[in-house]
Amino acid sequence: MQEINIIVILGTAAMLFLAIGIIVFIVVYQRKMFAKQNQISKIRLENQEKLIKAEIDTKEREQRRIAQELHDDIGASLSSMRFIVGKMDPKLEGVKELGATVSRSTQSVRRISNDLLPHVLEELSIKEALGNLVNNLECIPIDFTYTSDDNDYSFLEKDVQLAMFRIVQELINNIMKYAEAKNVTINLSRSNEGIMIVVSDDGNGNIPEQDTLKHPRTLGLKNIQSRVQYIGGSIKREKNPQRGTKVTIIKPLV
Amino acid sequence: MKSVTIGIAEDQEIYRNGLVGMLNGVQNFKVTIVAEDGKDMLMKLKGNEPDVVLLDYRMGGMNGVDTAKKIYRRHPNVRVLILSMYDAHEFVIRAIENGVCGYITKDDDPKEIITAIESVISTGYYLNDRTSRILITRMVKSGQVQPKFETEEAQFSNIEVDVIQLICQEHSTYEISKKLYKSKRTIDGHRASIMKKINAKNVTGIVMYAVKNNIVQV
Amino acid sequence: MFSIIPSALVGGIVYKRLNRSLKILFWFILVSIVWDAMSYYCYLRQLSNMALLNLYPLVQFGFIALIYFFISEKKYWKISILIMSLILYLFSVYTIVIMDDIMIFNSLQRYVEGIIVITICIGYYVQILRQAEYMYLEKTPFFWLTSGYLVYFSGTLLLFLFARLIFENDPGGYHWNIRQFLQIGLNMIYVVTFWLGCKKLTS
Repeated sequence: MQEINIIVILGTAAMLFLAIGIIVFIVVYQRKMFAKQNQISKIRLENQEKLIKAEIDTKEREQRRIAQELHDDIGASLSSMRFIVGKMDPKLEGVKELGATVSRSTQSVRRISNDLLPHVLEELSIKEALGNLVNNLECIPIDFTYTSDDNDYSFLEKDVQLAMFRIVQELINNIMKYAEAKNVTINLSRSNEGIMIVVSDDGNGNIPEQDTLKHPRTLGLKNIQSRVQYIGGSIKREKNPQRGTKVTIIKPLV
Repeated sequence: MKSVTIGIAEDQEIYRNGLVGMLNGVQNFKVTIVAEDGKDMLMKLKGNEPDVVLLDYRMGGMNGVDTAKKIYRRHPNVRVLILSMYDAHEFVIRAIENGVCGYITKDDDPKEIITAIESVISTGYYLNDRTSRILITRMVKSGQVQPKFETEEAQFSNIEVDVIQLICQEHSTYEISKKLYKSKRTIDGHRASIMKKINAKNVTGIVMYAVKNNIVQV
Repeated sequence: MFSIIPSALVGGIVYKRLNRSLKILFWFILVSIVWDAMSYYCYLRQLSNMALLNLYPLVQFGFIALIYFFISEKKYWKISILIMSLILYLFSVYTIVIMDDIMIFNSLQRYVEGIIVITICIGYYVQILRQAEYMYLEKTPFFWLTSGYLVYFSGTLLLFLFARLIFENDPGGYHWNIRQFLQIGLNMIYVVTFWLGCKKLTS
């Protein structure tokens, strides 16, 4: 009998020891695994960020080059043609039409180059560019209101300003496509947190937040996401208390 | 009759040549300075001030508005016109804010350039329909935020409120007169009347009153 | 025996914030209390509580299997648990009905139950090691619960295996204290599990 007692006690002790050993092993091993995994995903994320930055940079640089050449070369040539037309006798056949065509072409060149690279942003800053963006939307049956504080934003890098501008452009596109909103307000401000843009609408709040089967990648959501990453900022979507959606983009200042 | 002397700063050669050709073809007009960009223009202006200077907005070295600002400070007698491809409101406003007397776009009829120069010579400024509309829209928009001055002790007319707001934004009397399309003397009159109403001795008094009574937002 | 009350209290207070598995754990604890009370009643009335004692492992294992069934979304995991439950129940029926009498302490059944629960615990460990999604395991309720079961069933495994021999020689002796001690430890782990379980969901 004594033997059985000893076997039971020793055996139980051994089992308990083993169980606790397993638990300790799991905790230690898990922590190591996690640290390793963490590092791997961090590296992957960094690479991804670099890739996105390079992609955006390349695209915008190419667009900028085309826009400038359009504007400077073709634009100047077309404008100078106006002088030649001006010297011609207006009574001659086709001179008036020629003048009108040249004028229209100049406007097209300006519009295209502005789409590729917003002139206002390039020459002034995001503050004026957003105002211009909203102004140009006046023919749409949505009431846009744009406000900004008195700060100067031209100290920001042009690339960053352009990325922020594109985000707002994309957000407005989505609102026009999906939200059925009547009023949209856009606010640009600077605070301790950094540069903040708030785009708020009073629509149905049905703006998809992710690419889904129903809206596969047509949304430019990827564009928004990658540009938010590009500026090293954050984006927050929330429902407005009454109706619609409020999107806040913050670019922290270092 | 004294001829009108004109300076041109434009970085696109093809357009510059066309412009010089056209302006020299006009009776009484004489192009005296041809510059490639803003810096070039500022250099050539020394000792050789023309009546009117035409500046492109977008130029390699120094852009049109920055140049205009410098000209306004260094050569107050020279009138500046901006001649640009750009037609966005923001450019027009930025140009006017920097002491430019008129804004023409390159896709307007070239004859308008001649009209503009003549107008600047005779009246000191040139505003076409587009520019006027832009400026008026902006004024209406900024006027949408109506300050509550009826309840205050002193009563101001609308124009006086505009003047107070502009003073608070650190605009000079000349700038205010430009913005409100009044002569400098009229603005001075308004300013005196405001100071009398609130018993202020100088501009600081006006600003303090305005801030205290919510006429301007700080 | 009363050490289980705090875990039931804590579980009841935070019940609404618990997930499905932890809610099952709470019901398991309630059933255990009732079961214990019934055994105690039988003991007071001088009735044999052996039938209750022999059926308890089936109830206990049923709840544990359910808890772990809902822990993972993996299909092979769910199927394994079902298969193991089936084995245990078939084996229990065999031991109780065919091999033994229900009125004799069924030590073999308890032994097999212990081995299967230990297997499930280790299977759960392997799964969290593969996922590597928690930085601090000691903050996840199920890690605590699993560790509690692992220690409890490892510690009682031999006790139950030799239970009959021990009973015959020394009924209600020291070895029973070992089981009591492990039970108290497990009950404390239940409290920790509920506490972490409700915190995790709120944060």
